[in-house]
Amino acid sequence: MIWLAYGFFILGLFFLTFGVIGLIRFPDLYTRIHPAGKGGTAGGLSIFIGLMIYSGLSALTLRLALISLFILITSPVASHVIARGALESGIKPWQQKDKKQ
Amino acid sequence: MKIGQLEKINSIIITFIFLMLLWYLFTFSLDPFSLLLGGAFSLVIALATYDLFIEKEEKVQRGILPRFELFIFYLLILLWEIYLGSFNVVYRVITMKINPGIIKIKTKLGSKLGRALLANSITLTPGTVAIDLKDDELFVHWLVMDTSDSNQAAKQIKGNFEAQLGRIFY
Repeated sequence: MIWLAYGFFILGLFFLTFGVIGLIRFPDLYTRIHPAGKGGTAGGLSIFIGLMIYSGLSALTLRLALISLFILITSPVASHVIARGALESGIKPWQQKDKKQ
Repeated sequence: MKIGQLEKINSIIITFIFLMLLWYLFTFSLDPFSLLLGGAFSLVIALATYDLFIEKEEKVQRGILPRFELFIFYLLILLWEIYLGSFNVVYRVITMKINPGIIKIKTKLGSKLGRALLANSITLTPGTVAIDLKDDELFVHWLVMDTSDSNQAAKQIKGNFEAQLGRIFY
């Protein structure tokens, strides 16, 4: 059981790492939101699931589940807000054809 | 008048129960002082915010509580999709095979909460971020644009979230 928890920790770190790498490699704001938002959500969620398995069934598990639920609600909202703010202040999305310049 | 009054009391009680449960979950003690303190604050907060916590039109549409078992099922689907989506994004990060674009799609969901949840779910699924929601139109930024046709894209982006949400919030 404890190895399953460790597996989830490693999975979470994997997602977070690639989230950061994506943040650096992608060309513009809109594409960068994808790895940032998704890496953060999936990575955080995996770590919390790992912690839930690690702690066994107790009050702590319920609290961790609640925190995960809040991550699920707030993380996409943050992504929306950033993307919408960028779009409304007139930042043009990067497109494949811009690559040649 | 009478019905309005009843509804008000009803939503205060629901808010209070919800807050009390949260309080118990976080303190996790049956100590009378702690319960009293939690109860008092829950009551104050419930009286102040019952109107924000439970929206009027939602309440009329679907009774008191949403269909809980369907909601759990939906959460499980969402978790699965998040993992798929994350692996997809990791793959894109490594290969840099991207073709981003913004597309406008329509949703059939009527309820506000349902639409908000749909937008959140879209943000969490493979390579899509919902940017804006105007009435029933969603602006979605797509990491890999397979098609520029709105209907085709809508089918692909929404997957079976819309059907699931439609069963919960009708």
